[in-house]
Amino acid sequence: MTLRLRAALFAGLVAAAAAMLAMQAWRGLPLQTNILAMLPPTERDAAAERAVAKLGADLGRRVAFLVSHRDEDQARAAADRFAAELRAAGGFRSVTGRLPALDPGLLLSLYGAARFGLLSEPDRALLSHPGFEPRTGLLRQLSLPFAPPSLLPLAKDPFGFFGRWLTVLEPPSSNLRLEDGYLTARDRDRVRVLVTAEADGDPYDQAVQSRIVAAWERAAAALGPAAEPWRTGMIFFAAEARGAAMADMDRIGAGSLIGITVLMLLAFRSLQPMLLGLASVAVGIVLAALGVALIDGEIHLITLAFGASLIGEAIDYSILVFAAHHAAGAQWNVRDGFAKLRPGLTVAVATSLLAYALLALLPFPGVAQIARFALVGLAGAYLSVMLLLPAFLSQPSRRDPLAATRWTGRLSARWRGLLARRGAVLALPVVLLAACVPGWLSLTANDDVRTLAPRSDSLSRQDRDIRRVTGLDAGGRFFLIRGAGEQEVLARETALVKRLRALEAGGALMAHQAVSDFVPPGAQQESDRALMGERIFNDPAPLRAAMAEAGFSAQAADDLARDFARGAPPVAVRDWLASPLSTPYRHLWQPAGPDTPASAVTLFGEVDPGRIAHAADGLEGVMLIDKAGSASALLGWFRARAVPALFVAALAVLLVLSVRYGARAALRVMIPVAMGEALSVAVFGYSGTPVTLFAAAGWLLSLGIGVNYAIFLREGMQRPGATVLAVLLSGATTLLGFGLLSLSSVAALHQFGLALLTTIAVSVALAPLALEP
Amino acid sequence: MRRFFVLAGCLFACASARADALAEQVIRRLAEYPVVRARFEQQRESASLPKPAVSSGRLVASRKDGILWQVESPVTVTLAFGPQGIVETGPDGVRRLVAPRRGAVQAEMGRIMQQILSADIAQLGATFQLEARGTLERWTLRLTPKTREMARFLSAIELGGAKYLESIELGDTGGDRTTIRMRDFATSDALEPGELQQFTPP
Repeated sequence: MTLRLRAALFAGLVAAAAAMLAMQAWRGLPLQTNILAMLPPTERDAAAERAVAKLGADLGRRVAFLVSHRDEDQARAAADRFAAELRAAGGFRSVTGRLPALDPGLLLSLYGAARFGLLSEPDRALLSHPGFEPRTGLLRQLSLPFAPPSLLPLAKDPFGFFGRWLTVLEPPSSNLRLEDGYLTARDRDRVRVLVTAEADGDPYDQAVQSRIVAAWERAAAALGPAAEPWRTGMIFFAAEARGAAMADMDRIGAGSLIGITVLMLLAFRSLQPMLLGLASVAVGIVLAALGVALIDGEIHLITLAFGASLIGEAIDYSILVFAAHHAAGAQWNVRDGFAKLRPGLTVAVATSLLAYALLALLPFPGVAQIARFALVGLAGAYLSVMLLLPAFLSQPSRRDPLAATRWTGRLSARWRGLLARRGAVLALPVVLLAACVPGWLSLTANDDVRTLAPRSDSLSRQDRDIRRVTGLDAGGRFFLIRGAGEQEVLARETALVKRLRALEAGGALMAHQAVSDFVPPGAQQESDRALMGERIFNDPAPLRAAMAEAGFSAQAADDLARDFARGAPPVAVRDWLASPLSTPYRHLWQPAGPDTPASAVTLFGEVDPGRIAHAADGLEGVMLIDKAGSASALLGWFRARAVPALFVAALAVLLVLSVRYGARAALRVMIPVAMGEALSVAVFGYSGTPVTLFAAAGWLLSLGIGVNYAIFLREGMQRPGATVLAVLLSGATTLLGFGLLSLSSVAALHQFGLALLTTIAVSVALAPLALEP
Repeated sequence: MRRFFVLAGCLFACASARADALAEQVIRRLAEYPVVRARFEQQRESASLPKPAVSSGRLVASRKDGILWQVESPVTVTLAFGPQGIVETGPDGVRRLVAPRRGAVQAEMGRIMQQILSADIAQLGATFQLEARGTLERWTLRLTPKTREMARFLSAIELGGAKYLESIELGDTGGDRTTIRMRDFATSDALEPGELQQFTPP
């Protein structure tokens, strides 16, 4: 097969792949922006994972605003205006500013008939007390000062049981107070009014995010200068994360391309190498994107940002070829030239692919996707260099090889001379390692998954202020309660809620939301009804006498006894779900789907998370779900294991190298990259950058890439000028890509980039140590 | 003609400013004493009750700690409206928490009384329209709910007195009316330890 035919076939394949990718993109390739989507399932079972996903989406759609003004009336007017602007802007399923007045009819129709089975905890204790008499109960109620309001006339609820039970339906206690329908906080000298809204659609969908952000900007702009709006909500954070990652991608991509173009033009003084080099990169990127699209069905934004930094690495292979072509001058023969290049190039590609393959084995979808992208991308670039380039390089270079590479030859000779001084190969590492020790000792780790997403100051501050002012800090943890059916779920939930109430009274927790507060278990409603019968209604004489003494008409006692005797079935969850009263709380019921009897209890204002976590101890079917916590624990587990993995990977690379160079020389080839790793770890310690799984992944990866420069140098010592040119050039392009990555505002990418940048910089600088003296 | 309107407007503004000023003066005066003790008699009228329900007992109001409401007749029960909620002490001396710290409407009235006694004009002004009549020596203060939530169950509170708060009249929207009269006032600087204990939840 001729070189041209081979190149044409390969080009045809790539064109087909590009067409497929274009079709995927045209159909709309989902772009994932949820940082948690990078992590594997963390929960013990599928139902818990489904509950996390559903509640996450439900809560992720919610956004909250605080509109404030010094003047109360102005603050309310501003809140109305703000809410109206949000509604007009669109993109929301609902916008709630001023709450509609609670319709007492709704409460009565849901609970009125079943009220004899509804007792608050203190009243149940009161009735259970052996000393309880109807007479004392009635007179006590009438003697209460500042009589509490009731929905029913005094004669229908003379003991006040129903009125007190209804107080559980009030919104969770917080620093907010309902004033004329506005949830209001008085904070220093400002009056702040809460406006909440629910986005329409998937909070991670770019279109949804843009609509919500645009609505916020419009509503904020509509307020006068004296009114101040704050915002919070996961959707705003997600939109910012997307914006930051997009900006990173653009900056890294554009920076790499411009840098590579300039470097290639400077080094080779010809358009052809630059264009062919970029073509090989393009082939790699097209194949990588197609591969990920076919395997995963979606691309994470982080993968794209990382992919942009891969440009600098993928171009290395063509640089090596052009340098050799350049150096051969008139002696260039395309078949011999490639035959000489192939072994070294293949070893270099093999070590890189090995490192990425190790990453792909990690059970982190995000890291594995990055690794798959790189595997396919680098393999594509390598294939294009081996198959496509020969067709274009049949002619020898017209430039004088010696003149073209003289400066690099001199530079290399001087640098080698410096490194090759007596004992340098031993002394240099010892000195460098000694300098690293304090850095290693000051290393810290941080596995908190929440620190991985970028957070802008303004948004974080507003989020923090809203949490401070409202006291409603929904930390994302919740309890999941499961049972054989509705009643078992409710009963188990009641046991948990009892403990949560104790925590609330003790100040460890601000509030919770639970279905069983609205619908007590049927068995409890029946037993409460039985208790009321036993203590009050079963014996009509004392009740009649007591009501007469208290001043009620003779008719009142009989009417009340008749209401009790008429009875009513206990309130059931489906009654509650059918009532508009349940609207704000429906997400709590069956969060894992209609086939899994379950409920969620959400928490607000966790003052003492440790004690709250113990609330589920010993309760069957109850577990605390802490997605961020378990994800962080998982990150920590893998980070801790990344160090042993690094040694295993180093051994694997050493093995590959030994095949080609023999054990002793292979060790020597490893020295520069080993030094690079040591220094990079120390840089993290010195700069106070906490080590995460992403930094560890960066070190694992830089092992495979960093060793390449030593390989290139060792392979090409017959033509030092050209080889050094290739090493310097490919080092520069790679460093450019990862250097730009280390500037990312996305913490995960920043650490990844920093680990790669530092390791590779040292590997390039010390590459001559790999040569035999 | 225009001058007349300006003049009239000014007069009106001055009058309402004086009323506000009197309300403020009255409330500040009530808050002068750290602790006030008195006897009370409460009368409750309701459509459900052919004859009013009457109860009586002792009242201790502390600016700092809250209000202790000790009913002696027709039953013995003590309610402490404090910062930690409402704590009830039964005839047997057993304390129990009947309403938690915040949120409960039940605690709302206790909170309002405490706002009056601690002269928290900012909070009161947020919930009520304050309207004072008379002089500082003999005054009545009418609190009309400003917010929808309060207006749902309360039509107005009327306070009357001289040096001390002598009467409270509460009208609820259902037509029920509660009248409390106080007498035999005594002041002190702090609560007795036994009184303070009744504010502590069990």
